[in-house]
Amino acid sequence: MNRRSLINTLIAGLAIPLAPASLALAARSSGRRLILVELSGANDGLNTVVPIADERYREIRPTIGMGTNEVFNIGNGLALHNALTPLADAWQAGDLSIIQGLGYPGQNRSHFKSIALWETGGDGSKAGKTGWLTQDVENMIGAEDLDAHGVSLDGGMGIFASPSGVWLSMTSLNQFRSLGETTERLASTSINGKSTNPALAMVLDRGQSLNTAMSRISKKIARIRSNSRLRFDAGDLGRQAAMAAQLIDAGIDAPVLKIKIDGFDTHENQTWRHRDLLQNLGRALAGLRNALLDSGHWENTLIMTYSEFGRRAVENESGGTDHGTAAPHFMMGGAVSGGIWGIHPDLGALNEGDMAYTLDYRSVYDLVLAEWFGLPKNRFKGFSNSIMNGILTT
Amino acid sequence: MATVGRFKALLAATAAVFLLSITAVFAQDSKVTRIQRALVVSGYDPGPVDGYWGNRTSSALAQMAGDMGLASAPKSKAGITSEVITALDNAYQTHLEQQERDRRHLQEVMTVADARHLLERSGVGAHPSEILKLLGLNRSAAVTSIMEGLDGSDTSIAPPAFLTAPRIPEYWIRWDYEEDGRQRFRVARDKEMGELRNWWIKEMIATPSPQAERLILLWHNHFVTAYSGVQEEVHAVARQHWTFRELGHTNFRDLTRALVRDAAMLNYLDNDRSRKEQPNENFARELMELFVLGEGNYSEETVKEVARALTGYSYNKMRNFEFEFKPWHHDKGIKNVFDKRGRFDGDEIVDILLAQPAAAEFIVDRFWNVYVSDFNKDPEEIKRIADVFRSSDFDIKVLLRAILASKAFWADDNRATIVKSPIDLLVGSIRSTGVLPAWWASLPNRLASIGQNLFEAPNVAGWPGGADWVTASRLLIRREMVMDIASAEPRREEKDNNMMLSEVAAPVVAMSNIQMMSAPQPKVRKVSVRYAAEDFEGSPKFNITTMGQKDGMPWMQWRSELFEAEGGIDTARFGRVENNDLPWRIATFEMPAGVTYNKLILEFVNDHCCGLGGSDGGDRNLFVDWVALEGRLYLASDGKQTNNYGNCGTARPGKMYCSSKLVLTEFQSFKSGERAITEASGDTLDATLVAERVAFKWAEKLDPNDHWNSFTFALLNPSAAGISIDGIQVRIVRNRYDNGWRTLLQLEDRSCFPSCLGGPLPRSAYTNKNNGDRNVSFILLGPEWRDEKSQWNQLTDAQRKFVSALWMSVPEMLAEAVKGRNWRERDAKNMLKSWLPIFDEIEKSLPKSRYAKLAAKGGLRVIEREEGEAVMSMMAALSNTSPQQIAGIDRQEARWPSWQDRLQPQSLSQTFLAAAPITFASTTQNLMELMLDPVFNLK
Repeated sequence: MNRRSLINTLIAGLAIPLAPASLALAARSSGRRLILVELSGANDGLNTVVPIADERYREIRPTIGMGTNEVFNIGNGLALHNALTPLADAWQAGDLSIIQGLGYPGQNRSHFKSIALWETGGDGSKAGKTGWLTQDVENMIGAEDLDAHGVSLDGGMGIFASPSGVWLSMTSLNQFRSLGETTERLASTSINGKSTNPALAMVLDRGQSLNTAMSRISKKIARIRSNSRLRFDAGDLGRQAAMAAQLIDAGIDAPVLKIKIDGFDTHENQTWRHRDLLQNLGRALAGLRNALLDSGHWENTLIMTYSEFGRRAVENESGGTDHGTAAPHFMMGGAVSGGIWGIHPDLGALNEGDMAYTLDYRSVYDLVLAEWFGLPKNRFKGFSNSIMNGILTT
Repeated sequence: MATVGRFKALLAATAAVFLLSITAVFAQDSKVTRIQRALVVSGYDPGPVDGYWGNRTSSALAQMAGDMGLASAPKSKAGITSEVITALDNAYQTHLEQQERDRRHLQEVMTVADARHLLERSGVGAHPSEILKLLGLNRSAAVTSIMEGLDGSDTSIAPPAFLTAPRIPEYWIRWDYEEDGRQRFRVARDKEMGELRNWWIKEMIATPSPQAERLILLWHNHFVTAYSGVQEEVHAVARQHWTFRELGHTNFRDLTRALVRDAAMLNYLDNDRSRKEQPNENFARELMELFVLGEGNYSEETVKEVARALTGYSYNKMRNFEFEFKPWHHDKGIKNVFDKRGRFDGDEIVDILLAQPAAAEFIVDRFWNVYVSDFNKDPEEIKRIADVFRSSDFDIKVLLRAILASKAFWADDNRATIVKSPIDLLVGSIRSTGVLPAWWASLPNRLASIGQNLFEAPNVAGWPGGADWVTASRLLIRREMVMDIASAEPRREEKDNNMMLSEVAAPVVAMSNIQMMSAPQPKVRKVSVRYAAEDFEGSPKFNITTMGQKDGMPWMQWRSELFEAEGGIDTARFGRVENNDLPWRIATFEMPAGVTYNKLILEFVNDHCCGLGGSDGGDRNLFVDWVALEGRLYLASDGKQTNNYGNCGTARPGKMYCSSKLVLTEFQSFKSGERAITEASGDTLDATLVAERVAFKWAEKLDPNDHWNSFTFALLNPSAAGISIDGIQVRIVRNRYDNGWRTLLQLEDRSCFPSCLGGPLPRSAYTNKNNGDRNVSFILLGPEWRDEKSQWNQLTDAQRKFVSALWMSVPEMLAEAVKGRNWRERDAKNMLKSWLPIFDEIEKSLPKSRYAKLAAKGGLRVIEREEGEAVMSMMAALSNTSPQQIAGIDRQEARWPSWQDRLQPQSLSQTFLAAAPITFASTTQNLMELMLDPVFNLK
């Protein structure tokens, strides 16, 4: 059996009038988009956004601390690691904001468990079971007209864990592309009627969504060439970021994209490892910004970093840092009101070498869902925090 | 079915504690209670179910024994043999069949569709031979035959070799390793996880009793633990798996109690660090929400109270993950849990939770989803079955029989209302068709790419199942995979693997068999390569070159043909593979006998990248684990990798993401298994303490106001005086008493494995009242107390020498411990400052002590372990063959068409589909058509 008949059986019995691609595009062209950037391994916040004016920083970071010539000042006694210089433009333009001191109660120090908490909106006493934004995004008005609810460009689907919705990986997009040519004429396959078996009805329904997503996306994705000249010199993250820019440019309508940079678990030899990582992060985000400015999508895009936890404030004996607690994160976009938000953890009040978080990370989730996606009644509304009022000019 | 004696031996020997921990779960007379209850549910009258062996219990047992044709009836608890248990089981099933005579739906004669339904729901897939066995029976009898296959403790394929290795990996000391050492440790464990996963999948394919596997899958997805969440503690994961095998079909109370003491579970849900000062609520909450009661059936207040009761519930990494109760972390206070008030511990909490009305219904609901329907619920029926389950005191067999005998189970409306899990879809289809595809080794990857990576559930709630199995991105791949199965060529007969093993491993065999040594040299030599491939628009290709010398210059001696690395996973279709789970295979080359060499080069020649979106859209890569020939094992990780693409993969030899050369010069000889200690001899042997590693464990600052101060070392595999121990913690204690100070060396049972002194501690050992742990102390300075005198006197000569060797090595232990990571990271330098005078004093006093008399010539020798582990894992890999059976029958005879002929020819769709196909005529004889029908997603 060839691939064509495969599709045939996949969407068996379903004649779905497909929305013309252009119409779907128009309906969502003002749609907002979130790009999630996972800093996997736990980023060291103190050497990313450096409290350069704080004497105590030097005490807790005697060997791996950043010198004044290794950072660029951003005011308020803070400075960014020089490797992030590519983001200077965004900072100058007021497109880059820093939210300080993010964490959650009952810190879990396992990479696996803590990233699962960030992915699902849990904390030390309760893990979540589905991705933090999946249900809300699926329930958004007009969500049924999207090409997909989200696309993960790094293969990781944990943050998109959902028993429903169209959450895709790059692998599925590639499959769509290779199978896509056959979909159009198959849309008119004859119908056998809905089943009274609820399980079968569900499977057929899923076949329908798949078929819809595939027929919408395959044409758009066929326009992307794998040898595109869009390249950011930023390693694997650069590749993913370039791909994200291309997907957006191709008109693939998905409100959430996810990319990832790995390697932040810097227990040893942090100085050079961290510099390389931040360099890639800076270049990839700057490249993404430029590409989206060029394609006119910047105003509709919000970029947000996250990581399983911060690293211990006090450096270890191996030229690195161990698993810690709070950390700052970046928010970037045309609608972002740049600057420094929130409160820096008090380096004078460390607990066993760790900083106390000053803002529950779920306040940011609430902000994104409420302010960016217009979903004030989201899962995290209880964490709403006025400290970030005005960070998004919506 | 083959009993796996070796694994049992492991459980009995190195993990005797494991069995203890399970049996300890049963209260004193629970065995009698259990028997009484089994008699009741089988229709006999043992009098009140009270745990007392009285006349009525005896006579009921005698009656049962007579009915079931037992030669004699047990007279006491001791007479409860496995035959009696089996007889009771049979009595129960017979009794139920009699009871079921009144239920018309159970008297119907099994059709092909009925048989397929019962098999797919209660097992994995449905092979025509299994269907044939059930045809002609009535449903009641068919259920009985299913119920006979529930015990998973005897497996048809021997468990992975790493579980039967003589030593358990040194989990407890690994934090002392530097990054590279820890990395090696982690990679070794990841590999073992892959072996365990692979093995389970093979077992599911081969087993004649898939009903046991269905239950284990159910518990695996109920009491969820993910390998990624337990810091590579794969041995703990394996123990949990065996708990499901042994208890999963017995009693839910016992099972839950065992899980409350399960290392992997306590770790995964963070209870191992839960202390009274700061109880962790994770486990307490999930115990109620996901394991016993269900959401909404408890309050937040109860979560807090249960968390308090579970404080101090931990496990011992040193002692093969046995349960450890830490009284100093346990909250002994009064707790209020539901309507009960008391100083509860974990077992009592389980009892209180099970007494809640919601418990039985919650579990029945779980079973309903797995056995009856994912979509249709019948609350009345669930309530009825819950009553049956509860009144059997949570007997899992009673529950399962009630489910399988229910009207709902057989109802037409509930057929085809469960979405096949990836296991059902792939393993089930392999069982149903009796065809093992050539690509079977990639099954774990394929299962993962459609959402069911065994031992890696997405979170503690497990795989949600149902609609989640058929999300848009999964549905597409499911179809592709089913197509692969429907069109699969059966795996060709493998080359005789044992033959290959003996050739590659010849030197090892030769050691234990003189005759082998005189065996003639083979004309060709086998070169084996363990590799894994990721395909993208084709498979990777590689060859092997041997390099020697000619006129003092490196010279090529021999080069193999280009080898196409088959069996990889198509990354464009199924995505990239997690590094841990690569589909490893072994390639074999023949090298002429005359070739001499000092270097091997493995070259990956045809890298190809990438699909759209980069490597995640498709990438061709080659992974090499090792190359073996002539008793030499070349680990890829010890090699050097070069290419023309800058530093692509050069830091991790063996991971070939670009066309590269892997240059191998370092090897381990297979003969290296011998222990270094045998080199020493005579007096030195006795007195010298040999260990693989000495680490700083823990110390407190010496506080003169405190009457008890300690400084602890950890020793990996110490041996002296013929006593050899896997691991031991040596605690130097500074103890204040009325007139001054004493210095002693203390050993305690909980910090030694398997024992502190090569056997039980002397009778006079102290017992810790709180947790029953025993310890002994050996004095160096200050008066020796009477008990300590007895402890020393009750030692054997060898034990005295061993203790002396420990004492005499203390100064050297200190010097060794300084080298490790613990020393740096645990602030030992600071602790040592206060202890330095004590260590000085120890060093001065030792030569005059009684220990010097026994071990004066001693000292400490640290001999790092030779990489026996790598050789072992190589042997395991070589013997990892494909399953020889499918659904309990020989693979060559298992292919479905020959069996299908014995069923009615028009029933093909009944054999393979749970409902009429919707895209093809139900009369089709084309298996591919049936398998690609949307209905094939359901069972």
